[in-house]
Amino acid sequence: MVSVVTAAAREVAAPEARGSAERVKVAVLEHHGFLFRLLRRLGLGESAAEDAAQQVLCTFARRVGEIEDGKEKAFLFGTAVRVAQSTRRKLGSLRESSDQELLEGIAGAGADELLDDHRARALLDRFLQAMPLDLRTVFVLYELEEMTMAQIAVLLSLPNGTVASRLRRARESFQEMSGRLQAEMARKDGAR
Amino acid sequence: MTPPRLLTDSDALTSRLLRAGKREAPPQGSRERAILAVTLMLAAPRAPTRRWRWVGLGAAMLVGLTSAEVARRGPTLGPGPGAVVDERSPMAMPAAPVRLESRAPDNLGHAEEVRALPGAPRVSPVPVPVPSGTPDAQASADDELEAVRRAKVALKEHDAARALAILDDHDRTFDRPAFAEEAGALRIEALRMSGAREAAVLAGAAFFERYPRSPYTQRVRSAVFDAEWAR
Repeated sequence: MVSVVTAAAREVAAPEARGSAERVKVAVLEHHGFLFRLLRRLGLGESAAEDAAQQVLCTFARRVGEIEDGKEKAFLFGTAVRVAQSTRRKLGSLRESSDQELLEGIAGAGADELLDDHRARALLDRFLQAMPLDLRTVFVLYELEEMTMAQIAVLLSLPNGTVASRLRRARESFQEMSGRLQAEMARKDGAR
Repeated sequence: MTPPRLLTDSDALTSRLLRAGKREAPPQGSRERAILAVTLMLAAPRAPTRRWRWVGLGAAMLVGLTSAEVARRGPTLGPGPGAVVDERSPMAMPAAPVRLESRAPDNLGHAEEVRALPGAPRVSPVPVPVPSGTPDAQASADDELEAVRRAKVALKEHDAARALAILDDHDRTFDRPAFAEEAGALRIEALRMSGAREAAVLAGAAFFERYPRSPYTQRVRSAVFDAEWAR
């Protein structure tokens, strides 16, 4: 049996390993919440998002030696998107909703019910699922993670103009869905 | 030009939804489980665990493997014949021999789970059941608190072997301990201080599984994670 002591002693002995360990530590402590929220908004359930966040961090820990300084968050983000897509494929139960399905799904939700955080998040996720992934990621990073467009451009390796365009389209899509929902709710209220 | 955020510059429904999304935090103990998953992976890169959320169970299995290795080697924590010994590694040169029963997290209250795993040897002596009603069984909470206090003092004096001995004695004496959680946290700190790195990590995994909302979370995290990676 390979001793864990052996492996650990090798790790302790190498100065570069200590530097790597520090980077892994910072990644876990600083980015775990970000990863979890991102994975949730990319369509994973709570439990799947927790598993996926661990998987992303373990991948980071394994490959930290290959990741350039300053590119940690970009690596975590890219890995999270891939893990989310793969997890969703495996689970197979989540799929992109059409606008019509979306409206049908939320038709029963009244204004009072929306006060509940859990329901509000479910609705938010349904809005997000209706967007293509490239728009959704920019929207989440800008509106929920409050990153600047310049930071998003760096993170996604995209030109600033592309980020601005995706954000604009994502916001239009989101606000259109929100407007349709509110019109639907007002119609239902009027019918009572 | 940077557009204003919808959170503050949109209709009530939109900002309500975004606020709810922004507020979402990982489940209680989730970050600790991630810490342990990564720590375990670094300590044992070939550990065959896929469902990291069940890191506690994985830890229990690894305790079985580790315990078998310990049983083969003998009751001390010295590195095995193939180990690379590095003088900077406190693990390779433990401050003091650690007693066998101090290696497994059984004393954290996970004895049932660990023993239930097929092939997982029991490494901790079974606490001798004391018939109720005898003076020993009635050992007071004050006595237990005193034992915990002495373990704390030993740790403060950097005497991990003494702290572990006190905690082993505590576990034998008090069959229904009122301070099991605190004793568990102290044991993890003592294991880490003694250089029993992997035992501390595994015990930490079991601790987080059993006490996900423990007030000692920060201390245990520090013992298995910060201390581990700050070197």
